Amino acid sequence: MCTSPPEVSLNDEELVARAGAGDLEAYELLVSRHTASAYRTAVLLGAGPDAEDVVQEAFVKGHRKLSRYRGESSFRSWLMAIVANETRNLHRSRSRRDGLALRAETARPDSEIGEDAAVEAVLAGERRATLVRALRLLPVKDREVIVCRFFLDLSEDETVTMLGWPRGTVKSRTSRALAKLRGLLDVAEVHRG
Amino acid sequence: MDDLERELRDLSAWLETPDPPDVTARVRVRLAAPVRRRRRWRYLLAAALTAVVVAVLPPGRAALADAAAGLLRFAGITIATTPEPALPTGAASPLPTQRSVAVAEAQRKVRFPVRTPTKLGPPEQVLVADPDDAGACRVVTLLYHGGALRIDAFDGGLDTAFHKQAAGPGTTLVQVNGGFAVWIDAPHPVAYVDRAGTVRVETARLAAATLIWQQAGVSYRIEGDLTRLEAIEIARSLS
Repeated sequence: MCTSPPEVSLNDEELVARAGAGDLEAYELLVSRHTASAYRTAVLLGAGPDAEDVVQEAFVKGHRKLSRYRGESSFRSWLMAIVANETRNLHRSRSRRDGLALRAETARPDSEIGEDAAVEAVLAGERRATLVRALRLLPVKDREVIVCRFFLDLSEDETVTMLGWPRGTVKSRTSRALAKLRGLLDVAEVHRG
Repeated sequence: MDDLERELRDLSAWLETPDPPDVTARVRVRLAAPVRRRRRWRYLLAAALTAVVVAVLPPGRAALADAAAGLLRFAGITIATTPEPALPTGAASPLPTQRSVAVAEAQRKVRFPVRTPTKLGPPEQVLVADPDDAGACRVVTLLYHGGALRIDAFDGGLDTAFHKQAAGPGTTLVQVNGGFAVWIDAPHPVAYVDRAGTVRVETARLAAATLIWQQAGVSYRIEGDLTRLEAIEIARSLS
């Protein structure tokens, strides 16, 4: 398929209108435009190795539901809500849940940085690992809200759309999740001595 | 914003996300088949499978020999990868000495546990086939949706029991309960391979999308108008 520049410059809303009128190519542009964020969303919400299937399923369902999209939120938020929902369906059908995985350290302490900087890098790495371990211990809904607000950097409004909760719930759940996380981190610090 | 919030935002960049896959082509294929036509196709397929249609690989073993270059052996099933699988024509015979039995009797007829997926519930029909001299059957088949969805189970320790042909790109490795599984997403010819290792060409028929996996020493193939995710969910629900 050739994607000529004028097509690419169409914004999501125009593409949605075209796709709704039966233009499959317009929908394909939306698919390729949002695959990366849909995939990251699915992985961070815990879809693990099934993230690819989740994303595919979400795009197919999104197309079927397109007539019900009224533009109250951005197409992206609307689509990510479907991704979140598909990921939850996945959790329901299996007991194992995949946790978050930390990227391997890229900055290796070497001769170019001083000893202090090297020690600092190691400590920062340990802290990140502790944080991920603590996140894994959180209840699913707490983790969902942390993923939305801090990892996917969504606004409160976007999080409301994404998780389908009332705004008040998003607010209170966020502060409760942060409080639980602080508690877990304190315990981890104490254990380390 | 406090320290923990800042830390979480910083952590975001350190979280591993593999490169995103390109799903455009697969989404296109699924959208190109409108829901209504898919349904009709499903009924046609159901009719085809209950009547047990289709058959006969091309005469001679030429096609099989050619395919041997790209032969995948997995869980008692060989999958020959050929760019143009030979489509069976004519009516297929059922598996050797196949007959319909109650679930409890099926369990007495085979040497491995017969398990049903909780996702689908009790099967509409249970078939057993190919008994040995002592009367122990080799294959159990559970039928659902008027035969449009079927699960074949057989002792994974045995030799090859089915021979499939599939065009390369349609075959992918997936996971079921942490073990490897093979997913074939397009209709493909399948034939029974008997105890002597002979491909029973008279049983050849066109199979729908199929997931193949092995669990606790038993090999399974589930076949029907399913997406990969649906098939994997059913496989996971086996109990």
